[in-house]
Amino acid sequence: MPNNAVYTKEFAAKLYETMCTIRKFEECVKHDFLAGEIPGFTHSYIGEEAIATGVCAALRDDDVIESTHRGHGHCVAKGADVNRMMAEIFGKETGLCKGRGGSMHIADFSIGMLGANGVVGGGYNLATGAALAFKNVLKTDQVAVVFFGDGASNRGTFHEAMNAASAWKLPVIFVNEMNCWASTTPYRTTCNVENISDRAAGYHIPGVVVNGQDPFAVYEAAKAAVERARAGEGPTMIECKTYRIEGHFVGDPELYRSKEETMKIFHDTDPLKKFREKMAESMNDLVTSAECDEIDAKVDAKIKAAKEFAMASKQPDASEYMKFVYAD
Amino acid sequence: MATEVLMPKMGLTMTEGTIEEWKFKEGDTVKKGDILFSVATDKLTNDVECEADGVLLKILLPEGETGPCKSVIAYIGQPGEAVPGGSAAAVPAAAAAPAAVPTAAVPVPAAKANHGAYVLATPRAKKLAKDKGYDLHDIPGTGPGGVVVAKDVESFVAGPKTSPMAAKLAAELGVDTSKLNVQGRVMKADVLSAAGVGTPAAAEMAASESCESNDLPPVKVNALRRSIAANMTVSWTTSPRVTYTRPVDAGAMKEMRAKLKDTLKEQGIKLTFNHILMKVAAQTLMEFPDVNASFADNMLTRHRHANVGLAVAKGDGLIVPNVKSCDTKSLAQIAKETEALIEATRSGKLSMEDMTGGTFTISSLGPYGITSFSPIINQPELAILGVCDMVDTPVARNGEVVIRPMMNLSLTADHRVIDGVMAAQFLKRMAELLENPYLLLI
Amino acid sequence: MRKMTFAQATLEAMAEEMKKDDKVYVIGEDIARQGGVFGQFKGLSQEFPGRVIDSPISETFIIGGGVGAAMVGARPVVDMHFADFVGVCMDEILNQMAKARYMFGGQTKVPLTMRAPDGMTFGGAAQHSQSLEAFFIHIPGVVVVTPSNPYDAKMVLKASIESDDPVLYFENKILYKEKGEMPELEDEEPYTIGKAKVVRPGKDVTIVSYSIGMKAAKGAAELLAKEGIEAEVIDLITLSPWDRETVFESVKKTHRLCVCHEAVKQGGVGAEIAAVAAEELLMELDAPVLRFGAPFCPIPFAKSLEDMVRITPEKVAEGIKGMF
Repeated sequence: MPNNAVYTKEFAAKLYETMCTIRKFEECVKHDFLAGEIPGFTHSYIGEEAIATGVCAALRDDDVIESTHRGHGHCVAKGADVNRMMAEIFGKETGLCKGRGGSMHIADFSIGMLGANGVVGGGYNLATGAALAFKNVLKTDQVAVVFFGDGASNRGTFHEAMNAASAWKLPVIFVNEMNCWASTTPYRTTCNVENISDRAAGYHIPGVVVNGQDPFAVYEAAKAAVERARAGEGPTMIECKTYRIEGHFVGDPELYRSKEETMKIFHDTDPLKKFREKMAESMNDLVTSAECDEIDAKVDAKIKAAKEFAMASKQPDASEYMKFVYAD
Repeated sequence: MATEVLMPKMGLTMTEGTIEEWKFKEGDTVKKGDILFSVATDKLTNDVECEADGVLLKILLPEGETGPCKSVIAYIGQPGEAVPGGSAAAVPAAAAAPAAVPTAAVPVPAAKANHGAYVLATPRAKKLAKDKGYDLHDIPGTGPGGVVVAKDVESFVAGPKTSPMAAKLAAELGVDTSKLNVQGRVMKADVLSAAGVGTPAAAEMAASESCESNDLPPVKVNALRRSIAANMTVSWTTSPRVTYTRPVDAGAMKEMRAKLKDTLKEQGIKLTFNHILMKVAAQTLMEFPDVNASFADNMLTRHRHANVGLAVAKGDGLIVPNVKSCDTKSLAQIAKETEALIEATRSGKLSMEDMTGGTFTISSLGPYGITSFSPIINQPELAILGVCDMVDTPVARNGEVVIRPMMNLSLTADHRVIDGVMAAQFLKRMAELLENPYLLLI
Repeated sequence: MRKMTFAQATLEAMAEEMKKDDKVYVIGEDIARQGGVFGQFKGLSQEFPGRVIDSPISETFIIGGGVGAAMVGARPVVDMHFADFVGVCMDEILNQMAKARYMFGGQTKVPLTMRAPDGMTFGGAAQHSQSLEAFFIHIPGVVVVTPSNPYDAKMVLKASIESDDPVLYFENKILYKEKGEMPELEDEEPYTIGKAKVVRPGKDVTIVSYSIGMKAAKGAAELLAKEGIEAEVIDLITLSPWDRETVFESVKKTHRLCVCHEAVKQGGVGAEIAAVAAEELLMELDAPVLRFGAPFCPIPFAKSLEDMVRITPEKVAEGIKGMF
């Protein structure tokens, strides 16, 4: 992080609020899912909030992001309405996707959130294609970001997209959320690089490693990558070191690791906690602890309201199941 | 190992046969050469010889049942020998033979492929039959495998479905017979029960003597009769026919026969008037090519030779074998071949070749005293000659009355092709040749 | 009346659409410098510099990238090179292209056209000869079209590009060099996706086909006419959604239906049409519904074997005669 970086209070508070919103949103969803109220599958972003927050802080509304199956955090960070997010997760007509997508396909195209993707590794080419459109066809300075995990970088689509992006200097940013777990396997058992960003060198793409628990660090890296992209200098890969605190999916019995160990890591690296520490220790209480508490309370209320909104909403009209098959 | 008895294939187009009669029963001893059974197709019925010595162990195909050619219909072997377990080779509804139609022009319906309750018919045919109120069992199928297709239903002329009494009753009682769900004909009892037997009119009707109680239980007729019935019906509806009758002085013919019969007798040939008529007909046919022809779909097919058929009684039916190329054969040859055919007919040994390819038919009812009749054309021919009795008749000749043996010839001709003048001229020519047989030489 | 080949007709369509809308571009292997393996992109990159892009051999990027581009407002034409390679990017078609509009609740659309040369040539063998349209009629969300002649090739391609739905445009390799008549430009009629054409009226049997199958269908109709059987031949053009109305109307007239295509018979497009006929037209049928397609084996190399796999007018006519 640049030493002379200057952040406003609003900026910092916004970072905290975003992370807090993600945290409390995910806790609510986890609770409701385990209570049997949410259908399908859902994947929790708890512990990784700083990454989505930091990256999206560097983007405009008309920049686009391709998310993963673990997409609620990206959706919140990009600026989606939590009421409509919650409604979508509960499969209601008022949801962002009118109940057609659910958790795994949550999206808000009006703010450039091009969707969570149920296919691991499905997003690289979509983002790279969007970048191609921005640069060559629509001729704008918009950029595309694709989030992906360490496991996803083993898919062929990663390599095809990285290659094309590099060959044509496309304005796409590859953000790796290195959370150490590819579903139920530790990443090192199925991958022979220590840092996923080492792979970037193979494509002549700059690869940077950042502390994924620090939103400021992530923000700075993202900002630099966005500037590169807008200037026509091509793609960047940012590897954000983090840890997946929850199981692969909510309800995962996590037979492959020790709960104590995970909780200890969480205790040590929780980005919300780390933020408060950073404010107090090295940013002159830019945002005070009490102010953080206020934000906590505000977000609590926001999430509660979102839940109420979702509960009060109806399921989509059953007779409209054929709507949206074609663009009629 | 028991010997298999197979359904024979008696001709190229035969695909299945119906067992007319088993001459032996299970358990009887049989010898090679015995007549084992007789089998009918829609063209002919033949006796089939036994080909092995032994005991008739098992009959798989009972009388009246139909089986495909080459299927196993019985076993012959040693007493007590095991026979392969297996159901009868009777045709299940699905193993239907294709229509045994010999020529393209003959719309003879196929042997029906269905014997059970389920009729093989295309969906469209079923719908049309239902709409028209037909019973599919009544409709012959000409589709692949004997399936009833739409055009079979469309061209089907429904037979009486309601007995006359029932129809009258239905009209009086106001019963809609098409709505009655009755197997077979709608009878008086069906109408009464539909009307409600309790009504006074119905009770009175039930009490009165009716025609129905006069009927004996119906019997299904044999294959030959079924075949004749079908063929006659088809001919009736195919050929618009007119019969022309002309008297012929048979004196010359009688004289010819008297002169020739002894010579031919020495050759083992029995000369009859029919033979002479066949010869004369053949000659006349050569002069009237449109009579020696077939007609279908506006296409007229003239034939090179006159294959003259003779109607022969067989059992309680009749069969028409034909002699090929009578126009090229001598009277002796015609006589010889005709006699052989008659013999084969009586003994059940006629071949498909004998039964098919005829171009003209002669039917004689002379011996029965008939002086005029209108025979039905033998499809796909265009004319048939009915021969009547020779009767000594007073006629006027040169202003005087003389007794002459007059014989009427009744020619039925298909008016689609043969107009009245042609028919009349044909008969005139035949009469000419019969009355002046020396004309045959020139 | 003008005359041109199928390939030239597609070029004319591309040029017109690219001229009309600068958001239209093409990406694929060997299309810019070479002008397409079959000449179907000849000269296009010169006419529209920067908008005809030679891509790396990365089908997931070509097709998936197209989906992403379409979602942000471009109108891409992505070329598959050979339809057989569709296996490489199946996820991009199945889970991304076909699902985006629906699963995101109508927030986006994918106005993309995927062009895929398909079908047997002579000795193309197992991996370069396939007709795979049947896979895609099973996927809700994509439109599948297969023109059979130059005029349709042009008008259908234009309609595909202008459509806001993802359209899979299968073009037969053999048909590329076949010449056909085209009306003058001002007389051209736009194609409505989902409509079939009755190319030969008849009363005795309905033959439904598309793409190269039309040769067998029309050829069979001519052979049958000599025997007094008048076949009505329908070119489906669009396979999903297919024109049920036109086919139904025809079968209600002829009462006999058959489908022919070069693709494998088992599980082919014909199977779907036959099933629909059995469900909804049964009482009209006076004969079984026949399907003519390739036998269930990969396409062989040797000519003697390859010939066994082709459908021909003779095979179709022979089969149809058995319906009577």
